[in-house]
Amino acid sequence: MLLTCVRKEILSYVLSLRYGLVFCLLVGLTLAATAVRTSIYRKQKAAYAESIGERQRTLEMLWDTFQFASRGIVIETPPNPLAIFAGGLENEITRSHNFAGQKTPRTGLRKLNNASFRYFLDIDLILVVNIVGSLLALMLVFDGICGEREQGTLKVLLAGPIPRDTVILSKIIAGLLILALPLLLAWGFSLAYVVGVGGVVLDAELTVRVMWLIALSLVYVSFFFALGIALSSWVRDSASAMAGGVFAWAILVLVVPNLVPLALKRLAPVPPESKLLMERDAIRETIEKEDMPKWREEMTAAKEYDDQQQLWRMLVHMVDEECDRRFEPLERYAVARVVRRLRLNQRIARISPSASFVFAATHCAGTGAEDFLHALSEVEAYGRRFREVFHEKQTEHLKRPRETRHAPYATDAWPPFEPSRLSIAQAVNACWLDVVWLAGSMVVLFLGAVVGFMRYDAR
Amino acid sequence: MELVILVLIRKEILNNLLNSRFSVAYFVCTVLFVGSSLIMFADLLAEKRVADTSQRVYERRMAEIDEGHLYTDEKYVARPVVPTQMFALGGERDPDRRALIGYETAPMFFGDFRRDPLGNLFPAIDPTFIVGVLFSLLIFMLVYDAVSGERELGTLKLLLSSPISRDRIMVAKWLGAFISVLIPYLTSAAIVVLVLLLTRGITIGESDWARIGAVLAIGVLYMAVVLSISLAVSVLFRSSAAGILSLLLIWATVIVALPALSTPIAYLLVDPPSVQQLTEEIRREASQPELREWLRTGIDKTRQEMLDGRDEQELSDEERWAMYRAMQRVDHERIAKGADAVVSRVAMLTRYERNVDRLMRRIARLSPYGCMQNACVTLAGTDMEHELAMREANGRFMKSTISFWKTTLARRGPWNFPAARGPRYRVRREPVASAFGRAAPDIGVLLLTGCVFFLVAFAAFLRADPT
Repeated sequence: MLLTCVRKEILSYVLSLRYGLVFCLLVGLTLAATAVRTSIYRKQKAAYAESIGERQRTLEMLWDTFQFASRGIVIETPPNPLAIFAGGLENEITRSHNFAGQKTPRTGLRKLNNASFRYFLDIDLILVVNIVGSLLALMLVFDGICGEREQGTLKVLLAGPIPRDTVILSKIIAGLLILALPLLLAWGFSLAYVVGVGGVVLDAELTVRVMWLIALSLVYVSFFFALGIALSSWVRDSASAMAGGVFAWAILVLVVPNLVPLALKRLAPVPPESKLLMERDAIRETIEKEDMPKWREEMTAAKEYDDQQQLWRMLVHMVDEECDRRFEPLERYAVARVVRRLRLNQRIARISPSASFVFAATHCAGTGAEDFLHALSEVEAYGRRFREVFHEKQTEHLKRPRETRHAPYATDAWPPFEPSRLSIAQAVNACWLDVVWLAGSMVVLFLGAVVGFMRYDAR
Repeated sequence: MELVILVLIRKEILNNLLNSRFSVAYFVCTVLFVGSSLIMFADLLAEKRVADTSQRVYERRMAEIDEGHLYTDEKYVARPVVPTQMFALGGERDPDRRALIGYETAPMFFGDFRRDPLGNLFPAIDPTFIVGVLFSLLIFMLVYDAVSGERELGTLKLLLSSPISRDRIMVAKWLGAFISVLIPYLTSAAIVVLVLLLTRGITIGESDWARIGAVLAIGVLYMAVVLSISLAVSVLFRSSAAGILSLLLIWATVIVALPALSTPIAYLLVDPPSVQQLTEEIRREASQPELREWLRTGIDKTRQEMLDGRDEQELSDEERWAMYRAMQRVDHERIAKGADAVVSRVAMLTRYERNVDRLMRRIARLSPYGCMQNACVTLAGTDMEHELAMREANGRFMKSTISFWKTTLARRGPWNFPAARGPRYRVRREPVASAFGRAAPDIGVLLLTGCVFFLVAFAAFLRADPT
C-alpha cells in the first residue's frame, strides 16, 4: 500500500507544472553557473602556470640585493578545480604573497579583483542549491497537506482504508525522490561539463569530495522540503503556509548567516594591520635606541667590519633580525585572533541551515574556513622560513668584500612554497557537525510533519 | 468618477492591509530593511574608526621618515569609508584596505591576509539587496493573485459588471497595491533616516543625503516595476497557481541568476590580463637591464665626483654621508624612470576594468534588479568609478609627495626634514549630478520596463475574460 501511495504521489508531483518549473530551474541554473565558473577556472589555471615561469624570470633579472629588498619573491596557491562548484573562500586562499627583505609581507590582489564582482551574488552550483533550490523545495510542498484540505480531497483520502502514517510517509518519500532527480541530473550534467570541457581530471580524492557535495546538496534541499511539509501539516490554509515558509526561508537563508559575521566584528575583534604596523615600529624604535648603540660599540671595538658602509648595513641587519624575533609573538597573537573569530563565527552561524550547508560544502570542496586557516598557517610558516633564510643570506653577503657584497642572491636560494590542502579526513572532520545538524534537523522536521498530520483536522 | 478611483484604491489598500499574508510581509519587510540598515550603519561606524586610526598611523609614519628613506620605506594610505555604503555596499563589500605609495608599486589597494573573510561566503544584506531580492519576492507573493485570484473566486465578473470602467479598475488595482507595498518601505526608510539624524559618529553631508535620497527613490521605482510585472502575470494567467509559478521562475532567473552571471560573463568576454601577469610586469619594469646600466654609470660618476681623487677612508663622516646620499639620489632617479612603466601598466588594467564594468552593466540591464543595483551603487558612489577615483588619488598623492620632498630637499637640505607639512591624502568623490548622469541609462531602463509591463497588464485586462 505504501508503494502504491508513493507511486501516486510521485505521479502527481511529476505531472504538475510546478515540478516542471523546479526541474528546469535547478538544472538550467546549475549548468549556467558551472559553465561560467569552468571558464574562469581554466583562465586562472593557465595564468597560474604562466606565472611560475614569469616569477623566476623576474628573480633572474634582479641585479643586486637592494632590488631583492623591494621585489622579493612571490608565492601563490594553485587554483582548486572544486571551486567551480563551491567558490567559497577560494578568491582569498589563492591570493599571492610577496616576501621582500625586511618589508612586511604583502598580500596581493584577488584574482577576480574587479569591483563589479562584489555587486551581486557570487554564483556557483552551491549558491544555486542554497538559495534557489531551498526556495523551490519549499514551494513544491508548502500546500501538500493544507492545499489538499482546501480542495476537499484530503478528507476523501483519509476516509479511505489508508492509514494516516502511510499517507504522510508516502508524501515524504515521494517528495524526496522527485527532489533528488533534478539535483542528481544537475550534478551529473555539471560534472560532465567540467570533465569534458573544463579538462578537470577527477581522481579518487576529487571524486569522493564531489560525492560528499552531492550528498550534502540532497540533505540540504530535503531540509527545506521537510520544513515545507511540516508547515503544511500544522497550518490550515496554504496562503499562511506559503507566507510562513517564505518568512522562515528569508530568515534562515539570507538573514542569520549574514548577521553573525557582522555581529562578531564587534564581539571578537581582530587587530587591524595598521595596529600591528604601529607595534612593529615601536619595537624597532626601541631596538634602535637601546640596542643599536651597544652593538655599534662592540663591533667597533672588535673591528668586525672593513668599512663604514659594511658596519652600517650589518647594524641594520641586526636590528631587522631582532625586530623579527620580538614581533613574532604579536604575529602569532593576530593569527590566533583570526582563528578564534572564524571558529566562533561558524559555531554561531550554524543556527542557520543555510550556513551549515555552506560551511560543510565549502569544506568538502576545499574552499572553506578551515582551508583558509590552513592556507594562512602555511603562509605564516613560509614567512618564518623565508626570514630565516634571508637573514642567513644577508649575513653571509655582508661579510663579503665590498665589490661582491651586493651581488644578487642565487635564484634557488629561497625555500620552495609547496602548499597543501586539507585532506578529505580533515575536511570531513571540519564539517561533520554541520552534516549531523542538517540531517538531524531534517529528521526532526519530518517527525514534526508526521505528528502534525496525525493530529490534522481534515475538515 | 475620480472619486470612484479613490474609493477603489482605498478598497484595494484595505484589502491588502487586512490580509494576513500582507501583515506577515509587512512585518518581514520592515524588520529586514530596518535591521539590515542599522547593522550596516553600525558596521560603517566601526570601519570608519579603524580607517581613521589606520590613516593617522600611516600619516605619523610618513611624518617621521627621514630623507634617506623617502623612496624605500613603506608608506601607506588607508582606504576611506563612504557613508552611503550602508545603503548600497557595492564595491565596498570587504574591500582591500591599504595602498602602498611608491614609484615602484601600483597605486592599488591590496589585501591583508590576517583577517576574517567569512562574510564573503554569504550575500551581503545591504538594504539594496533586501529591496532587490526580498522585497521583489514578497511583492510577487502579495500580488500574484490580484486579478487571477479574483477570477477564481468569481468576484472579478461581479466587479466588471459594475459601471466602473476596466481602465479605472486596473489603475486602482495598481495604485492600491503600490501604496500598500510602499507603506512598509517608507516606514522602514523613515526609521532609518531618523536614526541617522539622531546618531553622531559620522558626518553625512548634503551630497550624501542627496545620494541616500536618490537610492531610496530608486527603490521605489524598482518596486513599481516589480509590481507591474506581477500584475501583468496575474492578468495574463488564468490560474493564480500558474501565475505564482511564473513569477518564481522570473525571480529565480531574472532577479537572482542573471545579475549574478553578468559580471563573470563580462569578465570572460573582455578577457583582461591576469592579476599575476600585471603584477610581474610591474615588478620587472623597474628592473630592466638598461636602467641597471644607467644606474651603474650614474653611481660611479657621482662617487668619482664626490671623492675627487681621494680615497674613501680619507673622507670625514659628514663627507661620506653626503656621498652616500648623492649616490642614493641617483638611485631615486632610476626609480622615477621605472615609474612610467608602472603608470602605463596600471592605465591598461584600468581600461580593461572599465570595459568589464561597462559590459556587465549592459548585460545586467536585462534584469530590473541589475538596473536597480547598478543605479544604486553609482548614486551611492560605491561602484567601479569610485575604486578608480581612489586609485587616481593614490597616484596623485604619490606624485605630490615626491614633488614636495624634492622641492624641500633642494631648498632646505636633508636635515630636520618637515615631512609632517607634506601634502594630505584626499579622495575626490564624483559630484552627485555626474553620478545621476551615469545612472540615467539604468533608471531609464527601469522606467521603460515598468511602463511596458504596466501597459501589457493594462491592455490584457481590458480584453480579459472574467469567467
